[in-house]
Amino acid sequence: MSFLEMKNVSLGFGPYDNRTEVLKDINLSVKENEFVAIIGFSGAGKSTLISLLAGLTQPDKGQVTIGGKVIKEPSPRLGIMFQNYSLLPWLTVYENIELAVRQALPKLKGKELVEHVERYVGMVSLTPALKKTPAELSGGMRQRASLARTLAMQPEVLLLDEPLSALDALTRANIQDEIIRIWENDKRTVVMITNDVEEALFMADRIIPLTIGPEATLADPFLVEIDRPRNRAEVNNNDTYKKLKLDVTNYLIGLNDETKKSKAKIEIEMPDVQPLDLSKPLSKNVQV
Amino acid sequence: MELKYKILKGLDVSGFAVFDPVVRLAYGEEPQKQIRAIGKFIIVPVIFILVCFALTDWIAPKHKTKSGQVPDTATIRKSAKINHLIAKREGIKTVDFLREGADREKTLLEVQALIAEKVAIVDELKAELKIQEEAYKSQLDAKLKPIQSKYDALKAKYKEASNARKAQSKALATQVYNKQVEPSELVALLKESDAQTEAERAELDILKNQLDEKRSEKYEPLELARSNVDSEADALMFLKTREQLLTSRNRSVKVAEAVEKKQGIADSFETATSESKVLNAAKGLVRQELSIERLESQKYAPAATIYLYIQRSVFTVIVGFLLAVIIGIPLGILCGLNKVFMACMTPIIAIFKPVSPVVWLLIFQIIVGAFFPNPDTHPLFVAASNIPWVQTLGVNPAMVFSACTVAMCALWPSLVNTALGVCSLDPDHVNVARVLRLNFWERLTKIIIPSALPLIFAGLRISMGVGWMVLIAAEALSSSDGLGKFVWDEYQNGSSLTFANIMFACFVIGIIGFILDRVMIVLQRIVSFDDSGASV
Repeated sequence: MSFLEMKNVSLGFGPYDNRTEVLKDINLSVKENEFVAIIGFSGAGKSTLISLLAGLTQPDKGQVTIGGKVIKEPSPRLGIMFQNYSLLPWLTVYENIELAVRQALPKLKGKELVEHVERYVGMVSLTPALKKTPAELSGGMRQRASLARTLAMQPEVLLLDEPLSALDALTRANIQDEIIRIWENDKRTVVMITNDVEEALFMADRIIPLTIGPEATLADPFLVEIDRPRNRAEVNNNDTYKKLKLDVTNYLIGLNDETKKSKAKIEIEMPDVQPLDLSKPLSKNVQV
Repeated sequence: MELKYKILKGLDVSGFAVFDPVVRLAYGEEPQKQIRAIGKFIIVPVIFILVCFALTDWIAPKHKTKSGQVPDTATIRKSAKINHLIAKREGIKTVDFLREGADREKTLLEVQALIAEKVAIVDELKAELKIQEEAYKSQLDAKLKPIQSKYDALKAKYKEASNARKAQSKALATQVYNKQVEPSELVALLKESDAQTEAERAELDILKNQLDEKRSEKYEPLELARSNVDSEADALMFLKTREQLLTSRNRSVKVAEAVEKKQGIADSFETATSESKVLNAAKGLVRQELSIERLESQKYAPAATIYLYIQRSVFTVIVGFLLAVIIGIPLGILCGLNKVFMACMTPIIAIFKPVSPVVWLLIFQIIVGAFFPNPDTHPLFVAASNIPWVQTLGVNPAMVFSACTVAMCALWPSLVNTALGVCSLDPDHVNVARVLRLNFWERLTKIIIPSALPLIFAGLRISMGVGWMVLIAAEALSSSDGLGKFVWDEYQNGSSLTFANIMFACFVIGIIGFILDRVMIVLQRIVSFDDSGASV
């Protein structure tokens, strides 16, 4: 039973006579409480895809639905966590999250609201930085604050747009664990965009590659049938993990080669032009 | 340790980071490094300023202009002192006017004692002046005598020579008449004679100039004696005014007189001999009561002093600035939010922004002036005269024109910067607003304005700077009591201190402008969330 669906979705940019189709015929169906990772090269249109899911962008063709209803605008049901944190720099961590919670859960008031915000800040281990502004935080802390803000809105679907791409390897692993832990405690549908095969394998139930744009589309999914909870150390020795990693990587490399081949066909004909020699007077034949 | 970092932070925010090493040194942090920093960034600049002062003192006396000598630093300091003295005296007079009872009598005695003292001093100084005048005359005579005698001798000699030439030409004329000589010879003689006369006159002029020069040479002791007499006589005059303010011009004295007069009128009822006299007495009583009432609420109207000018100028610039902010920021936000509105406003901004403040002043003088046909009873001025501090400034139409001119010129930087700040809203923040589904008002207050604040405040800072510059020119032209008028009046009046007073005003204007700018920097630093900091 699919919960979040994209049907024949296409989207392009540019003027009508020179339109670049970024995404073409995207079909995606995510089950409730499923963790799906979409993997692709940079520039493939991954962020555009997540904007479509979040309702920030409307498709040219096809439709995006949640629980059977068409997504026409952003809503609190769809929690998006942006690639570059997007915390408001003039507010503290607490205020950033509070603003979001007030909007998403207007029923919370007073003490309940404070407790709600503090619970989510605690969940991402940011309690000591509650009163700090984003400028005073490290990249990882900002990313966690952004995660807390998205989670605190209690969305039905969590859309993560390369949430960890800007972080160093250690912090990255740390936050991966944190996202998984939170997700396992409080199951919900997750669509995560990433360009890291290991990250996708470690976190997701299903990996869907996005082919290289323009006219990118979703390829056949890889099912990650590794038991949860997954242990970072052990998973490396898991045969399924190793095989999948090889398969996904090969598939992606194949995609890349294909594009290169297709690109190699294009030959630009150079005009037959000789440069002018400006050292000699040009006006030999000119009659004055 | 907490305090240290608070002080350092404060210095940083207020743009006085140059004093950072002083604080660190006081806390004993890496003394050598701090001392080196102090040497480089405090001592060297201070020495540079002192060198500038020394250069001024060296160059200034070499330049004499129609309005007197270019003032050196000592003269400017003297001008500052005199302006301060005038202000202090006005303050004392204001108090004296209101003194009453035993306090008045005690002060009166003190003042009278001071007057007696001062009179003695002035007499002494006058005697000294006389002596110096004599001395000056005798030394001048001594200097003039040799030149004078030389001049006289030469003049007599040339007179004789000239007479001889005249006689000669007359004789020749007779010969020409008798046809003994050609006329051309006479013409030649006359030409020669004229040339001779001219040369002699030039020679005499040289001596005359020497005499004039000697006469105009300053004789230091005399100058000193004269200025001593002047300043002491001035002080005496002041004391005499005080005496008047404590006696005949004193409020309580005047009230007492009026009350006595009223009593006299009241008494006259009894001795009245006719009905019409009774009526007149009653009318007089009414008038007298009114005048007592007026006297009781009377205050001394002090002459405008430099401190009043400063207060009025600062008040006017702040009013003008606030007007600019109230108009500029909302318009700027609208421009930033709506491209069509921006397109509508762009030609208006582009055309009116470069217009000179002088033109705006004249326009406001005409337009705004029409709103105040009768300033004394206009509600705006009545209201202003009831606000504590503001009432002492004397709000008048001229001040309103000046404030409007300031507002008109200070408007543009605020408007343009606000529009820019709102326009350059981070698309990520727009997405956040969309995801959070903020309504228009929440978007405005929670996303748009906070994100534009650093640029808005940068604009406000420019506005304040422009406003202060414009104000001084506007005051000079509109005669609104303030620093601009002070400068203009000095230029027009022309006293021995004219030039020094203008230079003094220059420093006052500069220092106040600097303080206003610093206040704006601090505000800007407080609201900016990115640690960009403000340039000095």
